[in-house]
Amino acid sequence: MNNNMPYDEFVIKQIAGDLLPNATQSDRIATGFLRNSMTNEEGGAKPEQFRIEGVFDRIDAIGKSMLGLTAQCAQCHTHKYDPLTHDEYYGMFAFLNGIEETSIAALTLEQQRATDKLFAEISAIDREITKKSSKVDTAYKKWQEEMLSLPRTKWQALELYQLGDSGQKYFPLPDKSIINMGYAATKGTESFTSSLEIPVVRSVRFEAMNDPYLPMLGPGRSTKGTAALGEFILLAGTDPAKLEDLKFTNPVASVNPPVTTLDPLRFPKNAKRDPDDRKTGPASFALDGDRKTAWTNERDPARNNEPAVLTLELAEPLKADAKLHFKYRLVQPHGGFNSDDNQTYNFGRVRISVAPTLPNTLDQMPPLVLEALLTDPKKRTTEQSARMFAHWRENNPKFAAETKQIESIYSKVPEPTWALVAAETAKSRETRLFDRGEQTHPKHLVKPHVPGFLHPLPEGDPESRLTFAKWIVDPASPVAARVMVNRIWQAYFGIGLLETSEDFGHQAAATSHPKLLDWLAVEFMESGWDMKRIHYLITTSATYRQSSLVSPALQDRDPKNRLLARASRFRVPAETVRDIQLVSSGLLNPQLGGRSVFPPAPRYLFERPVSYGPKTWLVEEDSQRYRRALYTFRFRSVPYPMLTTFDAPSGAISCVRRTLSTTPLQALVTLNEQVSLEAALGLAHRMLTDEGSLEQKLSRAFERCTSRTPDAEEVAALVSVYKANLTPDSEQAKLFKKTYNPVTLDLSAHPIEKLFAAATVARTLLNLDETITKN
Amino acid sequence: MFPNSTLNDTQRSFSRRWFMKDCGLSLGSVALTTMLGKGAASASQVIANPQAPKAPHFPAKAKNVIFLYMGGAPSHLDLFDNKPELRRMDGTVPPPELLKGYQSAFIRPNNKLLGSKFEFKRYGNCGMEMADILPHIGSCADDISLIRSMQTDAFNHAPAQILMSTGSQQFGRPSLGSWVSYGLGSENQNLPSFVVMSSGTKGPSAGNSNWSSGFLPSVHDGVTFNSTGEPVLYLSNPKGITRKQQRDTIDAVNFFNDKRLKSVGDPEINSRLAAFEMAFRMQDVAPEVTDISLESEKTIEMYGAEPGKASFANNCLLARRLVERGVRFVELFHESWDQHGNLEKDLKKNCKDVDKACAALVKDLKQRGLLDETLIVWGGEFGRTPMVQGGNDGRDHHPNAFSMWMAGGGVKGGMELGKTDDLGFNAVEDKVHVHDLNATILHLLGFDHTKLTTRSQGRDFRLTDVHGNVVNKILV
Repeated sequence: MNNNMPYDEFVIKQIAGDLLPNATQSDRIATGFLRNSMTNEEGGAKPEQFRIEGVFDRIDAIGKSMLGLTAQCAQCHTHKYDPLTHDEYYGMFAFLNGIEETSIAALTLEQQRATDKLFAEISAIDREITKKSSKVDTAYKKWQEEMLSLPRTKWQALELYQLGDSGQKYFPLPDKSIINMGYAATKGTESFTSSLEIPVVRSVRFEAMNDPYLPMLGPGRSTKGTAALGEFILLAGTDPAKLEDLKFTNPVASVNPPVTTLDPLRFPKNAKRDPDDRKTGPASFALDGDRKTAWTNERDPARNNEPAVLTLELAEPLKADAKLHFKYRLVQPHGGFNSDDNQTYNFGRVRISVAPTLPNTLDQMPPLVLEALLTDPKKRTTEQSARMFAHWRENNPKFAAETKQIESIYSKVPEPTWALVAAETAKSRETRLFDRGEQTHPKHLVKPHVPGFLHPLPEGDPESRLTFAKWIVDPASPVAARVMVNRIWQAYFGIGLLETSEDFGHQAAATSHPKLLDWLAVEFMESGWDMKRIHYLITTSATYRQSSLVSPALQDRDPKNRLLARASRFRVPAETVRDIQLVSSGLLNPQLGGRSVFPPAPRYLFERPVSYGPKTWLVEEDSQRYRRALYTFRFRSVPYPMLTTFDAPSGAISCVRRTLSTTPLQALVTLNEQVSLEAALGLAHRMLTDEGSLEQKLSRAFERCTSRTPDAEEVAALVSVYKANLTPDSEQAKLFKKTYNPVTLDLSAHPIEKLFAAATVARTLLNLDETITKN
Repeated sequence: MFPNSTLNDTQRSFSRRWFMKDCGLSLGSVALTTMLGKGAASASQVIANPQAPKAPHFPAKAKNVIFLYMGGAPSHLDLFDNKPELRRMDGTVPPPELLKGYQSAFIRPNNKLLGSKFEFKRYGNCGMEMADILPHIGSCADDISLIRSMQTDAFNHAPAQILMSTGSQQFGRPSLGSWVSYGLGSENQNLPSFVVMSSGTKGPSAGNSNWSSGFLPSVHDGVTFNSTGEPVLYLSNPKGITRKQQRDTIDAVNFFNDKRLKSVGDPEINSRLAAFEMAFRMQDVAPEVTDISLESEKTIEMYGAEPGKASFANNCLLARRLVERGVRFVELFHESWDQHGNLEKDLKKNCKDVDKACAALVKDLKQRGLLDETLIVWGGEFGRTPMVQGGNDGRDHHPNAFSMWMAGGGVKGGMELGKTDDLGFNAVEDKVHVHDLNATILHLLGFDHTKLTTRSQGRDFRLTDVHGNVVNKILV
């Protein structure tokens, strides 16, 4: 909005930003719109079932918010009222069916600049090394030749079959790796069996691999895409009933981070977040017989999401005169105590291989370096060349000083944010119509196509999600424009020109001013989908600038103000209620963007038995506490109570029109809730530090809350409230001050009596209907 | 106190006087009649109140519902549905034809059958069969309709729970309690019409979707009560604020709001005035209602309640107090029944935690003459597999068959409905789908489940979607 991005461009990015040529980070993050569907990480959940539920949810959201179409009817059968067939529903489904739910490591512009600068410093150091002498280049080339001349180990991957019924699910992939999807345990061991014809085994390889499903591509499932392996345990033998625990030696990993104690904030061993005795570190931790120590691939934000490899040698070669049976135990005891939170430290995708020979340097280099080395030098990317050189330098004692310097630069790379985005599958999925909408009853194949009652797709465009996105905002039909201007109108007037803003179909309410709606839609498109202009057009109109005073006769004739003979008067949305409290009181932290925040809320809501699992809610103790309400972290299963009370939806399904209620529970919030009372003290502070007479101070506070000058009677009432509260019980007043003192304010300069009296006036003002009503 | 004298010097209108004149309520104390839901609501409140009592479609058997939601899904095979054949086949693999097309959450086709380790007994004059770890519920057998042929569509907790609560596996639909509140309004203007409480080891896995009003107005949301501490969120006066100061502040707020009402004429302001009044009354009433220590020692003992602690027993006693005061729908979640392992030990514990209190609730309502108009529903979101999970002491989720019971509110006593096959795997006789259960509950409350609808997203929605048949066989 601030940059006034044209609405058609906005829609295209929300739906297919990732498919735009040269998609930027912002373009990709825009697809987060499609990622807000629900997931189920219950132990028994089937990931594919919820992937499909996600596609249904996306069609529902696009239908309601962009097409003005309640499409979900057609999930089960041809729409009863609107011209949308069962097939056409799955035609739209087909456009969205290729979505892969993935995530990227996102950086702010500032972080991106800092990162670029650090990477430039690293490149400069490496360039300096090559410039030092021609010997360097010679040595580097010689190393490459040596490496390429090494024999290639004949690894044979074990096809792993999961045993047990823990609820964690591992799915086999064609390359014989396994991927952990859905529920992720935080501590535990999973067992797998396998068998293989191999006469002798001398070594074993553990590969941690990337996958789009994993956070920031993985290879782990922690919020950073990292993981920790407590111990490497493999049993083998020719008799499946008598498998022996194999003894290993010489663990070598492509990444060997320094020894670090687990962070109780990320992986708390208990709800109290006590200090931990579990550690992560280098490869040896996977083979020290101590489950409290683990090998991890996590070192710094720049390199956390690279694939990693660990090789082990058998202490004694394992010879077999018959088929070998294996039992692999994936030991991962380094997550937090709460598997209902983001506390897993498990690997997401792994592959276990065995070989008849001992591993060599090639097997132990970072997989991306190996890939670069094996790439034709002419086809190597700059990144690949740099990666390869860096690896050589790291392993060359001559450049220890430079490597040390570079490592210290890596440690300064800023931590990215885990941004959920959509991506397109490499291999397209086929779409079948589901009989009665049941995914267990697939019928005939459906190709991507759009509803026939609207404009056709442009000829020759590929059958892609991007084509679908462009089609939605194609001015050939005014649908998207009508839906959007109506919703903007709804925001300003409480009710859209068409009341059912999610449904423009046959079952929709009658439009109050159909010509106006059409005119606005055309204006909107012809202005180049100029958002600021449409807002300006509406807010400067004579209709919008009317007074909201209403005569009984008019109230009687037009209670909902559909004829717009007055300005609409309605209670502001939940988030705005909180924002008004914060702005009026002067507590608001106006920071734009950034992470979600955790304002005060009753503890017990996030604990058992109210919450299914304990949830992390670390209350902000600085100015982050007073960010705009839209930054409040939302758990769908435990929504922020203040916002829910004022009709904020839980986010379970998309919502383009909220209900508006007036309830006693709302009064309890503004009267008794923590932040509401902190706001009262904030406003009291402003009153007491204001200039002028008492009347002036109180009047200004009134204006801050209602945007209106109080009349004489109102001023007198405020003054009398103030004066009547100047002699509180001092212990009680102190308790009030102590409990609700805003964390950003020092109130010690105010005499307690005055502060209490002013706070009482402030509570009155903040509770007024007018304060939280758009007049 | 609100500065009465000063204001009277300068102006005519004054909220307290307005309030006393127009609303006819005495202030400073709340009349007991109002608290018990029998007070006459004033004109302004009726206008303002979307919760005004409403009549259902036809005369109802039940006025109130207490839903004892056994979250996690109790094992029908170990509590209500005795299967000698399953005991006999203990340790063998189930017949493959039984598992054809069967989807399970955790177990695999080769998991073996597990016979129940619990003894079963016949209870009451009717000789209803239940496990001997439910002696108290058993003692109510002659007041109970036990359904052994329940079925559902989902085999994971969250989808199955909301299917039972809202008639849909998709999140976002109105819950049963919200529908009831929407259809019947409230008999008590000082308390919400739909109250929810939780006990057990954790909260329900579908979270607040179980009691959400969905696209019904949010006034029909279930309001969560705590059995200890502050009974309702933000109910207590702020620290350092006395009851009188709170009253004075509300008076001041009302003064300004009333003045504004007169100048702009928006009736919504009237709603706001009424909301503040009800909030204040709720602050007075709710702590008393939720204080179970006011009950006789004999009653407390009957439930096995412990005032001051959080427990299912306390919630049962509280449920009775709420229903007595006109709360329409009380739902108690006890999420403790997900026995993938430790079946024997945990079932014993769970039965110890709930058996006595459930029976006390039935008997207490009966002795007070309230059982006839209060429907009690007991059950979880699905059943458990006859196959073992995790060693020899656990069962997986199972949607094809499970048991529930109901009492009071127009259902027969001593009634056993439906049968499952010899292994308790499939319901085979008098099958009752979750939609049928919901249709029946609405029927008992006086509603035709096909006609209690709300328009949203371009069509009429109802609790039972396009399904549901009233289970006539259990009706009185």
